[in-house]
Amino acid sequence: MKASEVFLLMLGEAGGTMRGKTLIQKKAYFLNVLLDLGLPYNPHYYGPYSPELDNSIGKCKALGLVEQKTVGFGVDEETGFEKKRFDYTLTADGQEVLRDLERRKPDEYKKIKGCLEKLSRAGDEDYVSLSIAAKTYHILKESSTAIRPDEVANEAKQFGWEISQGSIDKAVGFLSEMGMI
Amino acid sequence: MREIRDPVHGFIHRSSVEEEIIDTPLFQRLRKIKQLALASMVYPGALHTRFDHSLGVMHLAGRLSGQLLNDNDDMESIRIVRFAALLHDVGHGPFSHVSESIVDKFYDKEKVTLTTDKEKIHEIITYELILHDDNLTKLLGERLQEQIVGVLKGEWGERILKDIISGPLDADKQDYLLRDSYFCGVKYGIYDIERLIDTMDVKRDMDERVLAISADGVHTLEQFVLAKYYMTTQVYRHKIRLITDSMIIRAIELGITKDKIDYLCKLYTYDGSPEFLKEWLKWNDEVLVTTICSDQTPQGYCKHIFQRLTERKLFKRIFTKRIGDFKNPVIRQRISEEFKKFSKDIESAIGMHIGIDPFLVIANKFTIQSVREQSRNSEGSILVLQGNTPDIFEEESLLFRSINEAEKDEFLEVYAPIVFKGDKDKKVRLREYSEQIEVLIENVIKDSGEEGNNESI
Repeated sequence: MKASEVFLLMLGEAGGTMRGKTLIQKKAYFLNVLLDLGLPYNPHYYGPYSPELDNSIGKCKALGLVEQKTVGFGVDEETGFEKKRFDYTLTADGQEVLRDLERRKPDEYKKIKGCLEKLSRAGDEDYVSLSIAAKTYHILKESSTAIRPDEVANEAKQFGWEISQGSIDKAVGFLSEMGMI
Repeated sequence: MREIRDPVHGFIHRSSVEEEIIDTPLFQRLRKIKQLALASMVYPGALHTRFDHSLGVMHLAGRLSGQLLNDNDDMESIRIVRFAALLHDVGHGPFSHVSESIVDKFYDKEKVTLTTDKEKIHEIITYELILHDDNLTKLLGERLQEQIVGVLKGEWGERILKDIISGPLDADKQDYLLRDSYFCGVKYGIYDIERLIDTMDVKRDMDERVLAISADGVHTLEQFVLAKYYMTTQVYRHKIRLITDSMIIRAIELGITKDKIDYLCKLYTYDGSPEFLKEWLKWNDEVLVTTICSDQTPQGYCKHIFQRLTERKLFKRIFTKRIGDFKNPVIRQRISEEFKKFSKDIESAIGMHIGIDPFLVIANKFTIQSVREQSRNSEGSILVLQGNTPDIFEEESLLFRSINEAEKDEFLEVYAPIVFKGDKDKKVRLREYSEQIEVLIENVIKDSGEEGNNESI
C-alpha cells in the first residue's frame, strides 16, 4: 500500500480524525515495523520520521481527501507563543476513496486494520509515550542491542526531552504489550 | 590554498589535492553537463554547468563545516566532507536530472539488484565512479574513497556530516539557489547566505551532533525556504522547462525501445560493470545531441524529437489541470498514486482522439511542494535552538505557522506536437482539448480496473 493509503486507513480506523502529526508519524512507524510496509524512516531528534508519509498528508489535503484543523493548546512558557497542533479529518471524498481501497485491496486493508486494532489495544493516543517508544526502539534495533525494558528507560532519559517517568513507563508498557521487548 | 574566482561566492579556495581532483577527466567532464538541461530555452543565461556548481558546493560545505565542526578531531571530517561535496555530482549523465529517470528505468534488472526502494541507479553510478576511478585512487587512496562515498550515502560519520551534504539546509541547495538565480537572471533564489551560515548551530542528539539553527536565524531561514519555493514555481517547474525535459526523456526512451539505437541502449543499461562506467564517462550534453542528430543515427522518433529541440520547435501544452480539481475523488487519488500504470493508455487515448502518433503525446504528472514542505526536505524538520528543548522550525516561525499546507499541488499536463493557426485557433482548440482530455483520462482509469498498463513506452 502507498503511504497515503495507509494514512487514510489510519484515519478511518481512528473514527475519521487523528490529533497531531506526531501521533500519525509514530503510529505509522509501528505499523511499518510490524507489517514491513516499506515506508522509509529517517532518524530525527524527536524520533523516527517518514518524509514519504509527511508528503502524503499534504497530498491528501491537496486532493481534498482530508481536512486540516489547527488546534491551539496552551502557551509556550519560554516564547509566549501559542502551541499548535494539526488535526486531520477524513472528508466525504476521503471516505469514498477509503471504500474504493477496501473494495480493490481487501487483503492489505484487512491486515492493516487488524494491526491498528492491536496498536490501539496496547496503548492510548499519547504521542509522547509513542515517540519515546519509537525512538528507543529505532535506536536499539539499529544498533542491534537487545531491547529490554531497562534499556528503553535508560535511552529515553538521554534524549534531552522534557519527559516524565510516567511517559517512559507508558512507552515500556506499550512495547511490552506489542511483544516488541 | 589556491583560489578560483566564482561569480556567486567570490574566491573559492582549494587545497592541492582538491586541485588535482578538479583536474581529473572525471571532474572536468562536468564542464559539459549543464546544471539545468535546456532551461536556456527560456532563460538564455542558464548555461552554467555541474562543474561550477560542484566547486560552489565544496566551498559552502567547507564554510558550514567551519561553522559547525569545531572539535580538535574534526579536521579529517572537514576534509572528507569537502571531497564529498566536490564529487557529489560526478555521476551525472547528459542533461543532468533528465538522465537519472532514464537510467533508473532501463538498468539491467537481472544483473543489478537494489537492496532498498531508496536506492537509485544514478546514485550508485556516482558511488562506483568515486570508488573505482584510478586517478582518485592515486590521489586519495581506497580508504578515503570509501569514506567519501559513506558520507554521500549518510552512512559514515555523525549525522551532522549528512546534514551538510544532503539535509534540508545542505550546501547543495545553498549553492544551487543562488547560482541558478544568478545565471537565469532572476531574483527568486536570493537569500542572506552570510546570516544563514552565521546562525547555523549544532544540537547534541544522544551521542551524535545534528544541525540546528539559533532562534536569531528563523527569519533568514524563512527567506531561504521561500527562495526554494519561488525557484521551484518560477524556474524548475517553468512550463517550457517541463516540456523540454519531457521531450528529451521521451526521445531517449523511444530511441531505446522503438528505434533500437545501439549506443543509447548501451549508455542507459547500467549493469554494474566497469565497461558501463567507461562508456558513461564518454557522454555529455553536446556529444549526445550531436550524435543523435548526425548521420550515424537513423531517422526515427529519437532523431525527430531531438531535431525539433535543436530548432526550438517545442511540443505544446494542450492540457493542464490540478489533480485536486478532477471531480471524482477516486480518480484524483488514483492519478496521484498510480499515474505510471495509466500513462501509456492515457497517451494512446489522447493520440487517437486528436490524430497524433501516441508516442509523441506526453502525459506528465508533477508536484509543487507546499512552502511548509519545502522547509523539511526529505530529511525531517529543522531544529531551532530555543531554551532547553529545541523547537521545530515550522512551529517556531510565525510566518510558516500561518501558511496553509494545502498549497502543495499536483498537476497533470499533456504535451504534443500541435501547430495552432493563430491565437484564436489556439484558444478554441485548447478549450476543446481541455474538456475532451479530462473525459478521456477519467475513462481510461475507470476502464483499467486494478491493473492498468505500466509499460509506459
